[in-house]
Formats: sequence, structure tokens, C-alpha cells
Amino acid sequence: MPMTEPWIIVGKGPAGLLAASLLLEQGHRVVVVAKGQGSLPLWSGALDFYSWDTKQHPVKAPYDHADHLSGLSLNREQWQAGWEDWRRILQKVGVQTQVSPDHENLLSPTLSGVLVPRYLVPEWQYAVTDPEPVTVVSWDGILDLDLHLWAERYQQHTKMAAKTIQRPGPQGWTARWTPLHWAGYLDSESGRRWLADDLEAALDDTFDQCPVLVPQIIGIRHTEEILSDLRVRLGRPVKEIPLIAPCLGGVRIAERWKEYLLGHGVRFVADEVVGVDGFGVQLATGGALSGRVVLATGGVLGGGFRLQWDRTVINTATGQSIAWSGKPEDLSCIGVSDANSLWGVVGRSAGGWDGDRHGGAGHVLGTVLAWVNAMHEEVYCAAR
Amino acid sequence: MLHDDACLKCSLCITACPVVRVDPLFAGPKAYGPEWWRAHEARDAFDTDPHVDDCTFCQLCEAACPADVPVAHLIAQHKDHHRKKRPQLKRFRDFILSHPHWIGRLPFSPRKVSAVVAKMAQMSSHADFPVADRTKFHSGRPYGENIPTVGLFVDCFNRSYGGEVVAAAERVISRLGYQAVLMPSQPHCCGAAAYASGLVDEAQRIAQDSAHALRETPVETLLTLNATCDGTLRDEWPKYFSLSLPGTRVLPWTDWVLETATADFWSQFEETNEAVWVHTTCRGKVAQGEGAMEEFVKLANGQPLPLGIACCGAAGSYAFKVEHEDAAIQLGIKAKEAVHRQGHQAEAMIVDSGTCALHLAQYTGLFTMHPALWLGRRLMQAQSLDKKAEVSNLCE
Amino acid sequence: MRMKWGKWLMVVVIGAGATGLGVAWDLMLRGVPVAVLDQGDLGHGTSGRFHGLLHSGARYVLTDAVAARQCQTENLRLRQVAAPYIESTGGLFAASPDVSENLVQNWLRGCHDAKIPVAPASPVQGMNAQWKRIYEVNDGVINGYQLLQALARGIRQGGGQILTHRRVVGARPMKGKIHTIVMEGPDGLEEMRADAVVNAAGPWAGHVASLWSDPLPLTLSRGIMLLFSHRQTPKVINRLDVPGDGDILVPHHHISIWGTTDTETDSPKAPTPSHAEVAHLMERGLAMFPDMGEWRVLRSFSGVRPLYRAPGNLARETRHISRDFVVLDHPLKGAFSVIGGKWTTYRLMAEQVADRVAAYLHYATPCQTGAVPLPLANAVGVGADPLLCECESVSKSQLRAFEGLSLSDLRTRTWFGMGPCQGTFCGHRVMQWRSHQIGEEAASKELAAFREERERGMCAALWGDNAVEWLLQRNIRFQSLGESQRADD
Ligand SMILES: Cc1cc2nc3c(=O)[nH]c(=O)nc-3n(C[C@H](O)[C@H](O)[C@H](O)COP(=O)(O)OP(=O)(O)OC[C@H]3O[C@@H](n4cnc5c(N)ncnc54)[C@H](O)[C@@H]3O)c2cc1C
Ligand SMILES: Cc1cc2nc3c(=O)[nH]c(=O)nc-3n(C[C@H](O)[C@H](O)[C@H](O)COP(=O)(O)OP(=O)(O)OC[C@H]3O[C@@H](n4cnc5c(N)ncnc54)[C@H](O)[C@@H]3O)c2cc1C
Ligand code: SF4
Ligand code: SF4
Repeated sequence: MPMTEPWIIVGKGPAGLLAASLLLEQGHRVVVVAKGQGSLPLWSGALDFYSWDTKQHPVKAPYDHADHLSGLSLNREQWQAGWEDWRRILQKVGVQTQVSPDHENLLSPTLSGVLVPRYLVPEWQYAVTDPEPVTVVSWDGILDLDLHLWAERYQQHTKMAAKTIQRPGPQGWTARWTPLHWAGYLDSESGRRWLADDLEAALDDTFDQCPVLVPQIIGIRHTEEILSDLRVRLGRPVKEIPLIAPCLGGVRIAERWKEYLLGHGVRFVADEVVGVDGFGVQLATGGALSGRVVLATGGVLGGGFRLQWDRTVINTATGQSIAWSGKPEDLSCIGVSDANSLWGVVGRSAGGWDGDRHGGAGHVLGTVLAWVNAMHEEVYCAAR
Repeated sequence: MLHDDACLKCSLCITACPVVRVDPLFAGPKAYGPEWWRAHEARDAFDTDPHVDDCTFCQLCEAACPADVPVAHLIAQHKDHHRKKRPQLKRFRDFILSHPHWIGRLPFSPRKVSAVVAKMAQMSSHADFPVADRTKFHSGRPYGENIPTVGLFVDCFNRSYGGEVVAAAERVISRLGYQAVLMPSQPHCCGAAAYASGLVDEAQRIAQDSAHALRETPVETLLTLNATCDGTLRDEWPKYFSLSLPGTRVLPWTDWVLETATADFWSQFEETNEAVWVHTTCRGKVAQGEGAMEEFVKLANGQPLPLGIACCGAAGSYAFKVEHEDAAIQLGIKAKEAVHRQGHQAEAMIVDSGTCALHLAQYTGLFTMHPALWLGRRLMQAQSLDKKAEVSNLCE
Repeated sequence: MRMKWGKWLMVVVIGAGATGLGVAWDLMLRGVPVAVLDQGDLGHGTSGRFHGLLHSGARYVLTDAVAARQCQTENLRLRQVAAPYIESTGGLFAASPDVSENLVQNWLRGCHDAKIPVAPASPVQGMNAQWKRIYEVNDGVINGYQLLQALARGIRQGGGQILTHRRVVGARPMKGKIHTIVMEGPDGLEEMRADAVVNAAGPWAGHVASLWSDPLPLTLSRGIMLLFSHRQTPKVINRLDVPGDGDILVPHHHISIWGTTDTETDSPKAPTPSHAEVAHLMERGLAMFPDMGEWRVLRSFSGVRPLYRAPGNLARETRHISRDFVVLDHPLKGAFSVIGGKWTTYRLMAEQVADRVAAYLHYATPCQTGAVPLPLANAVGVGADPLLCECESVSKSQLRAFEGLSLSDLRTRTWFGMGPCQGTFCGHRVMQWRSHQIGEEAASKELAAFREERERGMCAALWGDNAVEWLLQRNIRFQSLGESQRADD
């Protein structure tokens, strides 16, 4: 092959895609090997960097809870730089994000009506620094968003009013529509027309200075376009509340990101890695790829680790087994960065440092940054 | 099937399914696959759903699944169970379409089916049908003793409609210092068409015949020219049909060229930066991944433009069936939109399947072809340029 | 005390398990007015935490001839009167290579003596090929919850009462006879007039009998089980040996249950299985099914057997206590207790209890439960409305049929939350629906309890895709839904 050794990134979750994008920017050749989709399509789209302290109060900035990032020792400047990196890449991919002016958390309501802090939020998603009254519209058959409960919680949580409007679905709707069906329909010409007409008919003057929130179903390809058309037509902003998996926000990002990388010469190999050494990876179907390896296989959730009944935990890519305390809550920490190993390890198991409460993207970014630091020479100087 | 009931309900399969986005009546892979299967297992007579047939069997759902649920194959079972409830005429049509190697032998091949015929045969009157290509390709016997040999799988489609493709693929193979044995010697089908229509047992029978024919000429490497056949040979055959080609490694022709060609080979292509759209078919994405054809174009000094759609809607004989007209059209339109979205930057597109090429040509208006044909042409250009250079050298 | 129930003749049955409901159904058919009380919902005790096997009796022929015979006859009878709730799967007995031929011959002889038909059989897929001596018997599978619901329906249709979520806390006599039952319900203490009371409280029978200060010869034994998704085998598979740990696999609808163990315990509450216990079961299982480690595990749970220790039975291990049962009366007139037995023999137990009660009350009508078929359980079809629970195909219209029940009770009635996702997705949906009835706060509490219960079982078998599911669930709860981020945090 007439080319330089590529970087082989195992896994196409957010960690793998981020590492690939950073390498690409430095002019490296990149091959991504993954056996499955990764967790990105399950995301709402917001990059969760938030954390809670022990009393479950949100802790706002990742550098405020550096204790969770033990071993990575990243300071405030490094975090902010990393964050800007990610933001820039998302922009190239075609996803605009909102940030708070002072690089603190934005607040964004979940599907169950509670507000959670988040750092980087795509423009389609509702996020604010100060809660305000809202109008929420939903359509029959969107199971996961119950307006009644949502509004009750939102009001409890923010002391702000929420007006709810429930509407029937469009013609052709069936009981088995998933958010993807909705998105497909709303991406089409007729779907868009229906949506605009229906919203216009539904809304009255209540809170007419305030945003209209809708469930996250507004298309995949044309979301931004549809939302900005609606803004013009209705005279107020329309924003989404993310639903439960499958979350369209993540699907939008994942598709655009992959296309971006593909368009820039990144190759995606669909295979499982069953062995790793200093020279490259072995594939389940028999082949091998040589290059510098980055493991971004996620943790147990992403398939990077597999638990056996006898409590051994196998790294599916290296075949090695690793230790586990046997405590379920420790499972999410399995797979945390080991940037100094022979091959870089980025990404993580589940949704946070302790599994679920500290934000997925925080971990992804933290480990990718640590890896970039550790491999600084190779990443920044050794291109081409 | 070890993982048939391992479903986590994560819905990643739904996010990957192209049909869900265009077909309001198609409940989606999770519902038709693991959910149906589970209910079916608990209550033998659990209802089948007629819209299960809208599935193109692209397998993108299966590739997205983190729990290794054989989603698409459960759907194939669902289709099979549903088949008994379908009208006689459709069942007959499906049986015929499940044997593309028979159809290829027909003396005629109309580009369009007339409205009357379409109605009678339950065929789509929208879809373009393939036109026979009688380009001669090499007969199938190795012609040299000391030349390394690779097998070239001539699938039913290319055998009848892609003579030029086969010839071009062969030409590149020989340029790389190998000789190709074309196999099997008689028209056969890998079983994909039948399987995708839910004729599970028939698919296995067809595949068996085909495996038998392929084993007649043992080769170490067997190259495929169609992503669907490639996936079927490498995935369905061992896993679902219990068939194997002992000692044979199956891989796409494109990948083999990438593996085999040296810098020398690539250096003969001039830096024209000719742009070309690239669409890796759904089955190609599942079996191999994506980006190989782009790399291939780049190495040949072209400029690849990834199309960025999941499945074009052709899906073998899918688009030929009247009940799939809508879905196939909608998916085709998505391809057209993708071209528009990125600016109409090139006139040609390469794609690793014949039926997809046909469908994409119809909807995008582009000139679509197999990568072998594209490279074959560039090779000819390069050679004629060489010749010209030689001639001019001589003149000087 | 708020209310007084029952002015006329009334038999109160404590316990809405198989035995208690069986007794009430039997008495009702004899024309005796009944009320069933339970501290939880139907099947709150062992009857909702069992293995699911309709014994042919073959399991007990080597050690427990009485239980073997009882199972043999009841098996046939239940197939007639409770047909819709029995799956006729058949069962295999397979002997490992370590089992002596002598034992196999003894077993065959035992089956013959107990009139249990046995036929040589071939192995099922996935079984250890070394286990060559295989026989088929007519084991079946009991759909426990459905059968309980059918009994309850029959009782209600006949005018009997079933009051759930009422714990009996006192029994007041009058002139040496039982007179009033005191219970604690959702609205505080309530009383009910009783002319006779049947203690069918299963593992709690000792506690209940202590309300009238009479000790019971009750021994408790704990058994743990592993639940796998998918029917791993078409038939029940038993280890042909002296009964031991981990020797039965029961295919149940679309899951399979592997178990069990047998260890003495003091508490009627079924605790979460420990890793050591689960690992022990797995080791036993892998000997029989080498692939078991790859099966999609769902959860592990335990149940507590109420066993009758006959006078003079000094067996150290609970395994060696017979599965026979006994009906006892007490110095307090009109009070009866039933202990021991099996799910398979619930009808027989009920018959004997009802005989005693009927005699006491001078009712002459004989037992009819051996001939009268059970009513069909509520059949609620899949509606045209969206599915709230996708694993088990439960729609909103199905839930509506059980309006008023809590999340946990809805789970056992409709089966929602019981599939591979263990409530990951449907928990939130059903809670939303429930919040319309009882408000946000109460519904959130129910959801938390539901999650807690599901999570305990999942974590007891945390490997393979179940571990993945659990992590997915944590992410959805805390990341997607912000479940822990409540206003009061
Ligand atoms: C439902 C849900 C919603 C979430 N929402 C958000 C959100 O909105 N915002 C947020 O910030 N975080 C969110 N998270 C958390 C976040 O997704 C994870 O923390 C993070 O995605 C982990 O990313 P990763 O790239 O490390 O791993 P993953 O996304 O799990 O990717 C792992 C990749 O590695 C591949 N792989 C694994 N083993 C092998 C192997 N042996 N060979 C080849 N390939 C292999 C997999 O196929 C996959 O492509 C959410 C998580 C879940 C489950
Ligand atoms: C692990 C295991 C596996 C088994 N497998 C099988 C099998 O495969 N086949 C088989 O035939 N048998 C099996 N059995 C045995 C069978 O399950 C039990 O014998 C049977 O369920 C007992 O039913 P019961 O109605 O007597 O008790 P329970 O079902 O326990 O019913 C007692 C009820 O009384 C209620 N109660 C208790 N105290 C009070 C009070 N103070 N006030 C109000 N209500 C009260 C409880 O809530 C409970 O619902 C198994 C048992 C175990 C433990
Ligand atoms: S095979 Fe393709 S079309 Fe069929 S359900 Fe799966 S993703 Fe959808
Ligand atoms: S991707 Fe796999 S695990 Fe997820 S819902 Fe679909 S079949 Fe189930």
C-alpha cells in the first residue's frame, strides 16, 4: 500500500468518532473498525458533562469534580480547549450547538419534566440558563411524553407555568409509529406542511413570547430547516424535548458525523476486533489490519467488555480478562481510560463516571483528551 | 439461533432501518423481528403482519444491534410464516423472482413492464428492469499453469445483464498478474433473492445447488461482484444454510484489488481528479463496512463523493414488486435528494450491486456502474494514454 | 376500626396463594360463603415464586412415595379442570454418566409402582451428549399467575370476596370459637366476622397460627431459580437422580426457569439470591447444558417452601422432608391450618381442608373441584392502541382492565415488565398512565418500588446481555429521564 500506516480506531461510538476526527484534522489516515453502532443514536444529542455532588446537587463544571477524573488530571484550560474542539468538530459535521456564555451548564428538561444541567446542547433541543413559562404540544401516540405529568413536574421544578396541548396524529398514523416514523414523515414535504398547519391551529396567545416545546420527532435530515421555518411562521421559537431511546438527536449527529468522516477519506470496517497488539488488530472474520490502535470500544454497554456468569470480565478486543469488584455500581467504570497503555483507550462504559449520574460526554471527552495528551507527539507531529 | 431472544429493546435497529422512515405502515425491525418472534414462540399461532414484506432485507438493523439479535433473519422467518396468507398470484410471482438465474435466461428483457402485464404479474410499472448485456467474457477455465488463480463469482445478475462488468473485472485481475476462473460454470443463484422474499427453505435449496456447483472448481480466493451475493456467501451460507466452501476465502473484488494492487499499479492513473459518486449498498455496509470504494477511487486518482444514504430501495427484486412501489420510490427519491444536497458534482456513480445501479440510475439520472467497470475504463484510458505517449515518443 | 365486614355465616381464608384460593373455590362450590385475605396481591407468596412444574410425580419416586402418588393423580386431574392454564410439554428425565444403573432401575421401578408412565426418549438440542439414559414422563407446566387469576375469578363470580393488601394481625375468639379476624389494610385496621378461619398463609402460616397461640410443625426451605429468556428446550428437563440442587429446567411461555436449591431458612420472606448460590446453580446447569453460560439470563429470584415436618422426622436437610401436607385444627375452634404440599397438589390440599371446614359447619355437599372446570381468565386482546410493554405485548387497553392496581400488581396481572427489558422502557410509560389516577408523587413512589424489585432480580444474575440491559436501564433512568433529579433533591 502506498500510504502511511493508518490509525485504527476500534469502535464508532462518540469516543471513536471524536478521536477519528481529531486525527483527521491533523492529517492522519484513519480506519474505524466496529462491530456495532455504538451508543450515539441513543443520545438526545446534548453533550452531558454535568455531575452531581454526593447530595445529588448538580455540580456545574467538569473541572469542579476533578476527583471523579482521577488519573486524568485535566485542568480547567484543557477542559475548555477540549470542549471547543468538540464544538468545532460538530460544526464541521453540520450540528450547531448552544453553550452558556460563561461555559457553565445550561438547563434542559428531560422527558419526565425535570431539569438537568448539560454543557453543549444542539440547537434543536430546548436549553436555557433561566427557566421560563412554556407551551408544550404533543401528539397522540407519542407514548413516552405524557404532557400532564410533564407539566406537573416542570411547574414543581421551575415554579414556571407550562401550558399543554395534546393533538391527534396526522392521517396515516398507526399505533406502531416510533419516533423514527414521525421523523420520516416530518422530513417529507407533506409532513412538514401538516406540522406547520397543525401547530398554527393549536396555538393561541398564551405565553406568546415564550417558546413552544414539542417532542423530539422533527425529522432527521431537515430538522434545522423545519424548525426555522416554524419560527417564521409562528413567530416564536420551537424547540424539542428529547424522547427516550431511540433518540433522534443522537441519530442526526451519528449520521452526519459518519458521513463527514467518510467524505474525508475515513474507512469504516464492519467487523469485530478479537485481538490487539503493538502492530494492529485481528478481526473476527480472519483478516488483520495494521496501524496504531486506539480502543474506543465503550464499556460493558458498548460491547467492549463482556461479563461472564462466573464474574470474569473479558475485554472483547484484546481477549484479556480484567478485575471487577462484583459490585454492580462499579460496572460503569470498567473501561475507563488507560491512555498510557500500549494502545490508547478512550471512551467509557456507560453514562458516567459512576455509571450514570455524571454525564456520558464528559467521560468521552476526558478520556480522549487524556489520550491526546499522552500521545501528543504522535498525534500532533507525526502526521504524513 | 442463540441470540434470538436477547433483545434489549434499545431500538438501535429502528434507527438504522431505511424503510421505517418512508413507510408509515411498516412497524419496524424490532416489532417484526424479536417482538414477533417472542410472541410467536409463546403462542404458536401469533398473528403475522402483512407489512413485514416491506422489509428490504438490507440487514442494517442487524448490523446495528448491540446484542447480536439476528433481527433480519427473524424477519425472514416472519415473512415465511406470513407467506401462506398471501394471494396466490403474489406467491407465484415471488417464487419466480426467487430464481433470478431462471429469469436471466429469458430471451427478452424489457426495460419497462407495460401496465397490463404489470397488473397481471403483480409487478411494478415504475421500476426500470435490466436489459440483457451480451458482452462476451472469458469462458471460465484457467488458461495458464504458472499464473496465480482467483475465482470470480459470476452472479445471476451479472451473468445476464452485466457482461461488461465481468469482462472489466477480469481485465483488472489479469493486469494484476492473476488469472480468473469464472464460476460457477452454469447459472446459479446464491439464494439471496428467495431468502429476502421469505422463501426460507427454497433459498436453502437454491444455495445448496450453487455451493455444489462452486465446489467443482476449488479455489483459494473467490471474488464477488455484488455485495448481496458476497454477504450471502459469507454470512447466510455458514450461519443459516450450513453450507461452506472449504478452503476458500470469499471477498469483494474491490477489496481484493485494494489488497493486491501495488503502488506501481495505482501510479499509472493520471491525476485527473475526476469526481465520482460512491454508494456502498446496504449489504455491502453490513458485510464489509464503508469507505473501501472511496479509497479505491482515491488510489486511482479520482475524487470520491460518498452519497450518504442507507439503502437505495432496489434491494434485489424488491423494487420490481407492485406492493413495494411506494417504498422503493421514496427511497430512490432520497438518493436523488442526497445528490442535490451536496451539489450535482459528478455525472457518474459507482455502486457494488447491479439492481441498485439500475434503481439509482433511474432516480438520480446519473450514469451508474460497478467499480470494476469504472476502473476498467480508467485502465483503458491509462493504456491508451501510454500508447499515445509511446507513439509520440516514437514520432520524436 | 372503620368497617365491619360480613354479618352472616362466613369462612375467612388467609392467603391468596394456590392453597388459599383453592380452598375458597372449593368451599364456594359447596355453597359456603368465603372471603380470602392476603397481605399482598394474588400470588404474593410462594405461589408466585415457584418453578412452574406440574409434577408427574417421577421426581419423588425415589424418596417420597406419598408425594409421588399425590402428584401423579393431581397432574391428571388438573389437566382436566384447569386445562387452559397447563401446558402439556412433557418432561424428560436424564441420567448423568455418574449415576449408577442401579439407581436408574430403582427409579423406573418406582415410577411403575406409582403408575407413572415412562418411555425411553431421545435428548433435546443443547443437552450434554454424554447424558444418554433419557426417559419421558408427562410433566407439564403450570401458568401460576393465570391459574390464580382464574381461581379468583371463579370465587368472585360465585359471590366470594377477595380482599388483597390486607394483612391479618389478630383473631378474636368468643366462647372458645373463632369470631373476628382483624386485618390491616390500606386504610388502617378493619375487622371481619368469621365462623371459621383457614390459615393458608404458606411460609407465614407459623406467624398466623401464633395469632391464636398455637405452634405449627412448619419448616421453611429456600430455593433459588434462574430465569432465562427464550424456551431453551421444548420440554421440561429433570436430572434423573435423588432430588438435589439445580436439576430441573422448565420452559414457560417464552422463558425458561432453571433451579433450584433447598436450604433451611427462618424467614418467610424470599431474599435475593447471593452470587455463591447463583454460581452453584450455574455449575450444575453447565453439566447438563454446556451452553448455559451463553443463554440470555434475565434475573434470579428465590421462593420459600412451607414444609410440614412430621412428628419424628429429624432430617437435617430440608430436602429430606416430605412434600406431603397436613391439615391441622387448633384448640381454638373453627381455626384450621394447612401446611406443606406443592403447587401441583393444591387442589387435593384444598379438598381436604374444605372437607374439614364443611364438616365443622355441617355442610354436607361433597367436593366438586375435581370435576368443575375453572373459568377462563380475563382475555383482553391486543388492542389497536400502542404497546406500552413491547416485550410482553401489553397495551393501554389491557391495563385499563385492571385500573386501580399498583404498578407491581399490574405487573403480575398483565405481565408487563417481565420480558427481557425488565421494565427499562415500560416502567416509565405505565407510571405515566398511573399518575393520572393517583398523582405524580404516589406514582413516582410506585415506580421506584417497581424499579427496585426488578433491579434486585437483574443484579442477582448480572452477566451477558443482562448486564448490558442493566446498564442501559441505568442510563435511561438517570441520563435520559433524569429520574434521580427530582424537585426535592
Ligand atoms: C440510552 C442512553 C442515552 C444516553 N444519552 C446521552 C446523552 O444524551 N448525552 C451524553 O453525553 N451521553 C449519553 N449517554 C452516555 C454515553 O452514550 C456513553 O457514556 C458514551 O456514549 C460512551 O461512548 P463510547 O464511544 O465510549 O462507547 P459506545 O458508544 O458504547 O461505542 C462502543 C463502540 O465500540 C464497538 N466495539 C466494542 N467492542 C468491539 C470489538 N471487540 N470490536 C469491534 N468493535 C467493538 C461497538 O460496536 C461500538 O461501536 C447515553 C447512554 C445511553 C445508554
Ligand atoms: C423454589 C421453589 C420452587 C417450587 N417449585 C414447584 C414446582 O415446580 N411445582 C410445584 O408443584 N410446587 C413447587 N413449589 C412448591 C409450591 O410453590 C408451594 O408449595 C405452593 O406455592 C405453596 O402455596 P401456598 O398457597 O400454600 O403458599 P403461598 O403461595 O405462599 O401463599 C400464602 C399467602 O398467604 C399470604 N399471607 C401470609 N401471611 C398473611 C397474613 N398475615 N395476612 C394475610 N395474608 C397473609 C401471603 O401473602 C401469601 O400470598 C416450589 C416452591 C419453591 C420455594
Ligand atoms: S432488514 Fe433492512 S428493511 Fe428490513 S427491517 Fe432490517 S433494516 Fe429494515
Ligand atoms: S437493536 Fe437489537 S437489542 Fe436493540 S431493539 Fe433492536 S433487536 Fe433489540
